[in-house]
Amino acid sequence: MARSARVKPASQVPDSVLASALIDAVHAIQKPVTVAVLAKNLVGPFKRSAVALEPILAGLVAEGRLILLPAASAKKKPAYSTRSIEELARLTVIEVLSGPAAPFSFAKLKSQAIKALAEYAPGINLPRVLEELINDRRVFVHPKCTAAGKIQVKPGDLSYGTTPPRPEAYLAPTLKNLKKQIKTLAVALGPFGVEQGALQRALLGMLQRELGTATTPPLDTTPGSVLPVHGDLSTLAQLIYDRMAELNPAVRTGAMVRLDRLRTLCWDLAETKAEFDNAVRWLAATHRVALHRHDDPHGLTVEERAALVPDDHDGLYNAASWRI
Amino acid sequence: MLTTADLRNPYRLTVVPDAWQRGDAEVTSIHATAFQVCTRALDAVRFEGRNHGLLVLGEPGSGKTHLLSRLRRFCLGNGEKPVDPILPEVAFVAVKLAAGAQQIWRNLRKEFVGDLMRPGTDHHPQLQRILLRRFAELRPADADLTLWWDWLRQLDPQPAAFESIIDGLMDRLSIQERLGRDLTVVLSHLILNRHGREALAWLRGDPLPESALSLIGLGLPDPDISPEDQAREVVTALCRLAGPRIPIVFAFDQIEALQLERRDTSGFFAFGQMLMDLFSRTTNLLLISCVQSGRIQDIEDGVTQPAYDRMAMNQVALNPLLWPEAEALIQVRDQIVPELEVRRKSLGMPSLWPLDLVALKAAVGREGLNPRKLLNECAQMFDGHRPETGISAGSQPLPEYLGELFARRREQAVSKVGSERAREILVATLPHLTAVLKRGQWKRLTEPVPGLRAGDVDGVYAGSEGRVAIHVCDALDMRAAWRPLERLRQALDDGRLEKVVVVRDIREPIRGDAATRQLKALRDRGAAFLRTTPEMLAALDALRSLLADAQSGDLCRDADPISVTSVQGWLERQVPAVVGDLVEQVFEYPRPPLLEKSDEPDLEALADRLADALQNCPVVAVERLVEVLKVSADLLGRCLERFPDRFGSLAGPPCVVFQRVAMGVAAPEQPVSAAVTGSKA
Repeated sequence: MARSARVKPASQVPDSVLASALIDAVHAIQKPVTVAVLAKNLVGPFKRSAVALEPILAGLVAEGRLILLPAASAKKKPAYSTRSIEELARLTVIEVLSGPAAPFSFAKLKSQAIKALAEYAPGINLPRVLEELINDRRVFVHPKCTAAGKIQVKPGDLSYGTTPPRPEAYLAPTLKNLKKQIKTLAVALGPFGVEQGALQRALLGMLQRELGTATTPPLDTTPGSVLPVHGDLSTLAQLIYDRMAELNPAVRTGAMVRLDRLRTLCWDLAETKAEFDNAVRWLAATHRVALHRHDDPHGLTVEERAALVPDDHDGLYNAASWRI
Repeated sequence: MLTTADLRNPYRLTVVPDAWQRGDAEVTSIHATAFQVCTRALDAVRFEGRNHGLLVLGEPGSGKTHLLSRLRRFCLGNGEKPVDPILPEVAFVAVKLAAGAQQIWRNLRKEFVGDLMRPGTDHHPQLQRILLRRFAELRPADADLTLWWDWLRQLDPQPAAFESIIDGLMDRLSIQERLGRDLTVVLSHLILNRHGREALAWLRGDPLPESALSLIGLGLPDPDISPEDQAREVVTALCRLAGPRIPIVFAFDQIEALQLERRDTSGFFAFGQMLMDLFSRTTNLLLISCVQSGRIQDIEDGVTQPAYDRMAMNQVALNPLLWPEAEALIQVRDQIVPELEVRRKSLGMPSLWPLDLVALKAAVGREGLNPRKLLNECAQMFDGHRPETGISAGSQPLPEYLGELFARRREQAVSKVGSERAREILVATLPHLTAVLKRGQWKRLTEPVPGLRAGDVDGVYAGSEGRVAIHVCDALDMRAAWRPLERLRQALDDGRLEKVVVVRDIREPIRGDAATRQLKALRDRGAAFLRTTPEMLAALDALRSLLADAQSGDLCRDADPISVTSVQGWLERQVPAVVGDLVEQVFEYPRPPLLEKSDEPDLEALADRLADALQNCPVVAVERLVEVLKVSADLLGRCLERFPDRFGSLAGPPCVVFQRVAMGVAAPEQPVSAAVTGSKA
């Protein structure tokens, strides 16, 4: 006798289990979600129609386990979330400020955040949300710095980001002044045998001693060891030198770093690879770092070889360490 | 005389072969930071009571092995060092890694035991020092423990009484450190100087016949525990034996030699897993891994993150030398040949003559130069002052240079390649030979063959014609050896393999009915049975060392490293016949199965039975052999004729047969068959 072709309907989980799964799902989605979207995404024994889901969701709202966000307009549907409107607003602000184009001025932040919140929280008080986030140190204020180095803190001059402002931006005018003064000093002291490179290295050494940055050994300032130095190159080299310790703190005790990784970390310092290579070679020539030659560059792929730092004699280097 | 023709070149030696090499020239300021990192890490192991890893990175020739040699002298001292519980004690083990990830623990066990048994400058092996220290903890003693040991020995004139004391101490130590019965028994033998040869062979993991095992009170190893697991147990137990007060420095050198090819990371993966195991099972180790700086990416890619974190707990790089360090190194090397300074003074030449100071400074440059390259520059400048200097290595074509090196290393290896090394050598070289001589037609498979155990195969290769499994049968007692042979036969029957190659050294006969039966069944199914000879193993070992040195940047012509590709290129063109034949036999396919029983008697089996018969009585009369082996004199004569490298005979009367004990014995005065049949030459 042929067996019956009827398929037994899939058993469904009890409502209590479904309720718990719904809370987990809504929380994981992070954004408010409508009943239609929930019904569409439930599968297997959790599958329910939107009509069947509504009483369960209403029960969860009544118990305070879900929050019902009313529709912003007649065309929209109400949505469910585990987070209050304020919490959603805070999350939205952090998300906007974590983007690559941040920090943003308040006007720009407002336009982007309000756009994202328009559907469920059109009347949100954004200044208050921002103030809470600043107090919680989840958002940081970036004051403006004028060309003369003056810090401006008027509300219109502020911008906002999720990390503290980088000090380099505020030191740039000071650096420019210093370079100018070094140039003037070099002109004045040149006839007396004090060249610009020596002045730069002396300044760097003095700064290190003055500020107590003991990990960075002072440069050799004896006249005999003068190398052709370009001001910007030495600054870039110093920044790369410091980044080596960021990449691998053990360089302070003699470890090495891979140059391809160092270059990736220094993407914001050196615009081109040639610039990076020059700075690294300068560090080696001034005995501040040791470069490690790759023993078999021909065994590498073209891309791998291109990531190495070349010298003037066909040598290719793949790693560097501090000379300590 | 303005030349140095009559003086030895003090700059010539540029490669430190291993960490046990004597360090003649030492400049403490060179790599001082790296040395400090080593000693600090060692202190950390001692005081924190936990393992530490240290990654040493540098270019080939930067001084990694030299650093290890210096650390070895720091740990073990240069002269007399009393075994005193108050003084700090450190054990030092230098491990040169070789290709063959599947036997990494067995290699480690061999090297570990070898170094523990190496007599120090005070003539006491490290193992003895460790045992004395541990005994002194159980039966308190202080001052010089060797004196205490002598006193203990003389306490009772009866040797049995002394042995009983030591056995008691060993038992307590065994319980305390979970050494296991077998290791405890073997250590007791070693410390009491009983059955030293057998005990040491067991400790190294060499195969032993049952008679030798029963002599030292041990049974056959459990066939269900793989040899790798057994080796791991012994290594970790020996680490525990040293205890928390005696740190052990494991200095792993030539890690790159684990790579079978440039992109192969399986060896690094196995190495990382081994480090993880050592970390989890012990607490008193400093694990130093020396790696070429150019391979750092391969290491990072090859080992798992937790393994890398342990390996690189401490890190240090060996920087190229700047001029002040370079000058100091040259001056120290100068002192090796005192006549050089005398010559300078007599000729009124400046210091460092005949070296060109300006050229050397330029070579060191602003970036620095590694010690090997620096010394090579010096050596060449020195030779430039010798008008009658012969052909230097640099002017010799690379193939000839490699050929000479190979011949020299093969010569050195002949006396060192016992049959117990057949597996180690084959596993390390066969992948290279396959890649070069078969040009990628056969690929080594890493995944296991279903139904076979880890110890059943020593390599599986797949080509368009099927899969070939290689099994090295090195068990001296073959009673347990039939099991893997049976599983291999089943794999052939089930089509899981297309061919099996069984390898056994010619010096080891086939014994046991079950093993012989399985071997015959395998041969009936087309399996190949290869017998390795000392010449073949020596050639393979020489190749292995050339390739390992090339992988780790230690194979140089002058100071220029010779790449693995160059060695493989040379091998492809100049493959030694004995090696080429081996590869052909392994991959010759298909070998037609013997469907019909041949009438030809199996002379190989007869040779094995003959070897067995000569085991206890090395010289036996032919008449007696005919009786014992139940074969005709004619057949015996054919067997002797077929295997002149295994047996010899003397015409008599009475006509006798003997087993050759070493290769290179002079040829018999008359054909062996003639001697057996009694005809005159």
